[in-house]
Amino acid sequence: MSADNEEKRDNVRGSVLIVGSGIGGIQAALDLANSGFKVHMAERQAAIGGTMAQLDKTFPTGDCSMCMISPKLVECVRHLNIEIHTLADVLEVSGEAGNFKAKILKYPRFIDLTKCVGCGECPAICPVKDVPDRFNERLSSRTAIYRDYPQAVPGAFVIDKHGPAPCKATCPVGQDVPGYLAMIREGKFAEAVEIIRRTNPLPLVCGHACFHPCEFNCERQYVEEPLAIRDLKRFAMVWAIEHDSGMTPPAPAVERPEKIAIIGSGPAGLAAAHTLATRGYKPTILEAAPVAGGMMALGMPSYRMPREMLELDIDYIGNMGVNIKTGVTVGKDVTLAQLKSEGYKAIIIATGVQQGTKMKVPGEDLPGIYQGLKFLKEVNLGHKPAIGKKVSVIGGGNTALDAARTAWRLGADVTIFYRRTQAEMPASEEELEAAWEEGVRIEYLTAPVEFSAGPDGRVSSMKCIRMKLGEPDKSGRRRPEPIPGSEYTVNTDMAILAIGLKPDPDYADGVKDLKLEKWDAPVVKPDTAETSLPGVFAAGDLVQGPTNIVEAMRAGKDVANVVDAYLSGREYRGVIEKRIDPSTLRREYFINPHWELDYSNVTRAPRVEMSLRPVDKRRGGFDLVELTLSEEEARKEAARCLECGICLDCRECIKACQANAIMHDDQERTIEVNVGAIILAPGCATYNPSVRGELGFGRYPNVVTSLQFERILSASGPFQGEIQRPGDAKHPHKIAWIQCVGSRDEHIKHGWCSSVCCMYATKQSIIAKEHDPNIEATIFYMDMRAHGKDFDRYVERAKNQYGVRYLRSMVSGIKQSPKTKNLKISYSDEAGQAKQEEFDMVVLSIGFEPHGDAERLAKTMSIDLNNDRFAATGDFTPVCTSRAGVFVTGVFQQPKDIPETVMMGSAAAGGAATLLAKARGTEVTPKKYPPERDILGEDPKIGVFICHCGINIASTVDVAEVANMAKTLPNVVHAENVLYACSQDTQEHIKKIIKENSLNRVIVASCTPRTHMPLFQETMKEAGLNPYLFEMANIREQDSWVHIGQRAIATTKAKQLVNMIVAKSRLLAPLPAEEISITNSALILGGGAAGLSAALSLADQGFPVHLVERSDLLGGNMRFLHSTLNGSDVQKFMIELIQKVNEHPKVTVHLETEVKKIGGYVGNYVTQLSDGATVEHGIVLLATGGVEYRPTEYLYGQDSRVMTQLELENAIHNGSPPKQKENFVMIQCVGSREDQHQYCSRVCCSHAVKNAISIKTARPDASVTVLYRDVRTYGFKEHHYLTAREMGVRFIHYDPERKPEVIKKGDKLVVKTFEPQLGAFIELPADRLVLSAAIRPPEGVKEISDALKVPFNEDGFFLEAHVKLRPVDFASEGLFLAGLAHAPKSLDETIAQALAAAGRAGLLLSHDRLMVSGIVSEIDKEKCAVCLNCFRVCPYDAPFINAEGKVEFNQIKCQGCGLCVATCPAKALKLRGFTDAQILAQVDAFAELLP
Amino acid sequence: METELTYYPGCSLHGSSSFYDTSVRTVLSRFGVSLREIEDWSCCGSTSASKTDHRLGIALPARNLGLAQKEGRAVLAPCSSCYSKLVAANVAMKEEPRLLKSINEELEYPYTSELPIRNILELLLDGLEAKDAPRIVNPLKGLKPVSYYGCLLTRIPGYEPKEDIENPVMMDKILKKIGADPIDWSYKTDCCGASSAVADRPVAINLIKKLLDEAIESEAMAIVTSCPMCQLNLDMYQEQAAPARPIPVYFITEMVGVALGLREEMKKEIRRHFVDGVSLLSELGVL
Repeated sequence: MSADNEEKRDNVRGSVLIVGSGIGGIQAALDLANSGFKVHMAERQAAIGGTMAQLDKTFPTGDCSMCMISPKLVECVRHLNIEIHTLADVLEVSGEAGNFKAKILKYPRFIDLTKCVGCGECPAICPVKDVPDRFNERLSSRTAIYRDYPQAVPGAFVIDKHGPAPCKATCPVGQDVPGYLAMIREGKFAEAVEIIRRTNPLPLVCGHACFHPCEFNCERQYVEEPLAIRDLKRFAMVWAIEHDSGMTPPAPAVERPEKIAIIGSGPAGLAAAHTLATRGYKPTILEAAPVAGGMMALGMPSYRMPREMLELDIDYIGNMGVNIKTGVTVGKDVTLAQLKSEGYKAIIIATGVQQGTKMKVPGEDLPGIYQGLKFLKEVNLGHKPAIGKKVSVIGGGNTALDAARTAWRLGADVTIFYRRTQAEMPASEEELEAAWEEGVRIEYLTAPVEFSAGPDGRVSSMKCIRMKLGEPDKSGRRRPEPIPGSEYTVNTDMAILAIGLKPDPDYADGVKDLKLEKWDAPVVKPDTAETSLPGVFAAGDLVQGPTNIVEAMRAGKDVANVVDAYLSGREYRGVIEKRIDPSTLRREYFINPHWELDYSNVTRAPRVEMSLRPVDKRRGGFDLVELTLSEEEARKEAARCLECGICLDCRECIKACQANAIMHDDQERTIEVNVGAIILAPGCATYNPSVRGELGFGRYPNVVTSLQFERILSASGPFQGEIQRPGDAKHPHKIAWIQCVGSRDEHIKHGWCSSVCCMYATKQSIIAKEHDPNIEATIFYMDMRAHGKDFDRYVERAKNQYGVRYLRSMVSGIKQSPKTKNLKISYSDEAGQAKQEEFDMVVLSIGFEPHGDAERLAKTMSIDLNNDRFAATGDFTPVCTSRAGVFVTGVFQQPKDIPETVMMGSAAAGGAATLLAKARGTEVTPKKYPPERDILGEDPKIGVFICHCGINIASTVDVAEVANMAKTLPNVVHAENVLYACSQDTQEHIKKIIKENSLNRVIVASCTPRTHMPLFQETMKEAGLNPYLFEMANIREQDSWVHIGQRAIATTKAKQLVNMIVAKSRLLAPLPAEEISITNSALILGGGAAGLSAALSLADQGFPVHLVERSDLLGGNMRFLHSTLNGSDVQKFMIELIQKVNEHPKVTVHLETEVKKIGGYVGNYVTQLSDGATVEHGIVLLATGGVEYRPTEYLYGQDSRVMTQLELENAIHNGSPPKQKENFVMIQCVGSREDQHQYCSRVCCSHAVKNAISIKTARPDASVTVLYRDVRTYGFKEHHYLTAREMGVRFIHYDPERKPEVIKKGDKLVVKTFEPQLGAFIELPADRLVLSAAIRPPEGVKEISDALKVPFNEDGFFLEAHVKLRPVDFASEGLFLAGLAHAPKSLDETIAQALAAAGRAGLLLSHDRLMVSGIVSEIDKEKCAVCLNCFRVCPYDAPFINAEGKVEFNQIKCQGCGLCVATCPAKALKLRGFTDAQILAQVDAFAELLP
Repeated sequence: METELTYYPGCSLHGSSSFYDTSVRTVLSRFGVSLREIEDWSCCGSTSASKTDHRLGIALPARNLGLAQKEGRAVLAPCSSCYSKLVAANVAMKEEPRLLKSINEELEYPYTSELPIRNILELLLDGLEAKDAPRIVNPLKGLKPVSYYGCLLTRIPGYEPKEDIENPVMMDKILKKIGADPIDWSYKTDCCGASSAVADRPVAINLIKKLLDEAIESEAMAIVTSCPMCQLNLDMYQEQAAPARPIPVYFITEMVGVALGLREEMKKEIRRHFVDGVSLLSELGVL
């Protein structure tokens, strides 16, 4: 190895990043973390668990999915060496295998994970209630603050915030508009006022006269019209006045001594003062005019800006401690220098713009011609200017409109002249409409060019010129151009010019030290609003030019924030926030993957308009034109809000949260992790069936997806486990399942088989019938794909025991009955007949598809995807992506079920562990428990927790009654019922109760100790108690599940069970845990694909391996295979693999060797081999394989033309290729799926397809006919099935009741079979007849089983510890299995399982020491007569004679079975944890409660 | 929306459904659209030609499109069958340049470009959604029809449909715009039997009966369609199909026409239906 490589090796990291947290990711995480690697887990959702958490039960065992995954979730979150990053996306990956750097974007949760206790107070108060619940597949709604389900891990809530909503984002002062709208809707008006006041310094002003940019951007306009946001604000504020609510400012938290002067009391000045006052300052406003309010008081007519409203807002600010001095002109009465010398630390100039822009046309200065603002000021100050009869207003802005409507109110006949068209007019549309209604005329595309005086010297006429629109100018509006020769004259006796405003140059006298722009505004730095003088700032229209109230307010707030930072000595650059460009808003919203701007289902509701004062009542006065909404109107209007940002920022949750966990201003963050390997476990999406319109999903309410049906079945689902139709809550009687929706469909580019749908539909139909026996279940399918271990038996049970109807058919469409909303399914049956049948409910068995993010993820990870957009892997490297160091597990690689996903999770973990073997243990923190509390001498203090298990227990057992009974039992100091005893919340709760009550015994009455005992014992250890002070009562498997519908009996039984276990637990004692050392080497039995792969993996992980093979050759069944279905060369792979194994320094191969005797126990086995060797090893891995069945049927062995698929494959490659026009007939399921062998051999269909394709490729004119029962080409194998059909291979279905017959006609072989389409028997000539023979276990299964004490199923395949979650472990520790010894499977699956077993074995071997159970036999040497009875019954060789000649027990070998105790004549033996006294106490307690 | 269109009426609108032709012209003129009929147009290649001879099935529409190409405007074909044949020919000729070449060799006016081909629903909806749309002076308040597209309009081989094949909604949108309250049903795009009404009457009657029964089961007051073949079958064979009650079958143009205030004009055409369509609208006070 070069120095360079050496260095790279030294950089190997001891940590792994796992992307995704479904069961595959969890398995990989736990395997790695438990074997000395640090794990980072990045999950897109707010909680880990993936799809499995959504499922109800699992097939074929009917286990509760949530109950299985929940302990795993808890284990993950508790694990010191697993760091979970929820709401996270991996953005970037650099580096290489062994040392990657990954950037992870963490979206804000808005809730502090460390503080939230998951109490559930916040959703109760959240006003957003209609968010479709993703976890319940949109069958129910949730609040904006939520968690998916009670056992979610982490258990903290999350806020769904896609904000800011456009109204808030575009509001210059950032009003939490949706928040106050919701409060108005709820009738919580005081809260609405509070929210408005939070960010708005002039709420009454804004409620009446805001320009409302919010409304222009309101999403509701895409339904029909935007909400009347301003009017709702006005309603709330008028309510506030009427109820004197929120009209007194709160005292600021701090007081600031610095003096601040604000020049000008317009919206900018007032807003600045308000903001500063909230920070504790007491600024002084200097106003030149006799009244405060600036343009709001002087420029705006009171019919739209009522003075009393303005005054209330100004008073409020005054009450905050702001001193407003009117009649003080800076420059005249006081100078800037004077102010500074008076101790003002900061000065804000906000004098606005008052000077009318000149038109520069002749006659502009004639008497009778006014500037618009001047005219309005006169009126507003009560000076009553002389009004003409025919008034012309020039301009198109709000000032023009105000002047025109004011002149009209004073009795004039008014016309507005505007040089562009209505579209370019800056005045708001409602202003324009009101003016129009009142009778103000408007002339567009015209401009005055000259004013002329009459005899009195006053203006009398105006010459105008017509305009047309030219090219757009800088403002984007089309530039008006005069039309030559179009001049005309109008008579007018008064003209009001309102074409623009600029700063009044007078103000400059007072501030002459300032540098000014050429339009008289001070020069300011745009990011700080600071002028050329330090401490002097300027803001508002003065700086930004004429705008509107709310824009000026924003400028005021901004400058106030700068001044505050300036006076506090903080950096004040960057304080002013950037403005959001409204045009980008919607686009940016789409970036959020959860965002849906689909309003197609929103019911149209027109905007509630304020009623208007009649036009004839408006003239002569200045009363408000628009009349405030009534309470009813306001609530109705507020209810139109689409809540498009989801969270409304009302912040009611902050009030509800006792834990102080809410963080509304949480930000997204990017972190970087440095890891050695990456495992991708992102899962898949499910197909959206609304794409196929004929099935009516999304249109007919009673058509649901299979995932929705899982939620319907689930106790924690939308209907609490009751089966009802989403459309009308009726209980369906006839339910249909339609298979292959979004699978096996090339038209929609979903050519693959999703592998799991046949089984889950079978499971769902069984569970549905268990919920309600009256349900009639029908499954419409093409091929029943029950290719997994024990799956066929499950389907047979569904058919025969539950009466599920399976209908081989093609469904063409679904119609809905208009009245009953029942569904009529049109289909063609097996004979091709068109039929129709009506059902109450239809479940679409939707398949997997790559999730929307797959391509982005692949790009980020630089890995290849296959043609179907799943992660590409090799035939012999099933968990490796195209990038070294990046592994994959689960459905992202190919559709598959849970055990395969778990297997791949372990395999990927094994792969990562091999790669990082050198760095094992370098980045982990060991777990430390608190010291164990000594309970010696304490009276028993027992805590009892009765679990609901959702409805698994609670629907049958009255759990509250059981808990109440438990409370009455002696020594029980605490008893309660809990929703899910296994959830993370409950673990914390139990610990708390232990501590509070000083408990020294804990009992959980729930499910089985087999799966859940370790979880609770862990909790005990964390609480400082010996784990053997814990007991479980199984009131689910032993009670609620067997007494469904018998509530009284079940409840009584539960009480008995609890009473018994309480009696026992009084006598519990702490048990010591033994530690043993481990021999870090492995023994692998079987030298086929599984054994070889596992051997290589373990050896690469650094563990010595003994590989024992019975025959004289390595390779197993691989020796008979030439290519995979995808065309990869099996022989080449095998030769290379064997070579690597043979050459590996850590592997010892024992050929032609069998095991003579295995002795020892986990970690310390000693095995004698038939080749004379004795090996010591820590684990045993069974990879003993399987064999092809030698058929006895169809003339096999009697006619040389009849052969098996393996024989055919060999023949094709070795000397007997297909001949021209040769007829091949293949018969499937020979020896499989029959009475004695009720299992599918899984590989035969693909084997037949593979051989058929190679025949057709070599000889397109050869004929191949496959007689099948169900074509089981699951996953991507389906593509090859299609290829075969396209190549002309014929597939004919047969029933087991009508098997094909092989007849010899002369020397010809003929196969006679029933052709269902024709409805007749046909005869097929066969030049070669190929039998797809079953896979059988090899000889010697029984012997191995006896030697290792491992079980096998009725078909002779070894039985794993748990069919779903522990697919490569045996129940006894230290024993593992892989390959055909477990069940029939293909080569890639065998390799994956072997890697998984090697990973799991490596996990165990990576420890130096091992803890063993405290429940072991103990001998009283005084009583023992050394009769050796215990020697005879012990299956584990635990007893031995010690040096003193006495019997002793090896505590590691002892599995606590208790056989010896029962057999000991002298009662010298006892089993710890199951002493006679304890068991007798249980029996007595049982008798106590007998009726 | 185009103000001038090249018009391909097809045989139905010049024959059995000539009143559809009238209502199309009358209503479109209200939208300011003028129609110029293709001079010397011929059969669109519907059922018989396209089923028996692929080339002929494309050559016939190609001939008409060649003639239309002279005008250089979008083509309107109100009949669903004509529309689908013209569109399908457009697609086929794009995909099969050799076929196009060989057909063009025989045409007096070869077809070279790709003319936009519009159906009546698109046009009406565009018109009603336009800024300067004519006012709905006589909204069809209280009318609860089902919209019936027939099987051809959304199912065009090789053509990515603008609407969901199984659940198109344009007609429902139009009906809502003109004040009616359309009822959703499952049979929007089911087959009416089309020309099998001539060739195999019992098959057609079966299909017609199913549609009529389902419309009545859905509590529809009427069926509205845009296809002359559908209208003919559902209207003419009600006696044989014997639904629970007679149900009027209107053209969408008639509905829009009534809503736009063309009461008398439309009444004249609706009178020509087999099943009385006047009474219902009169009772609702819109005719």
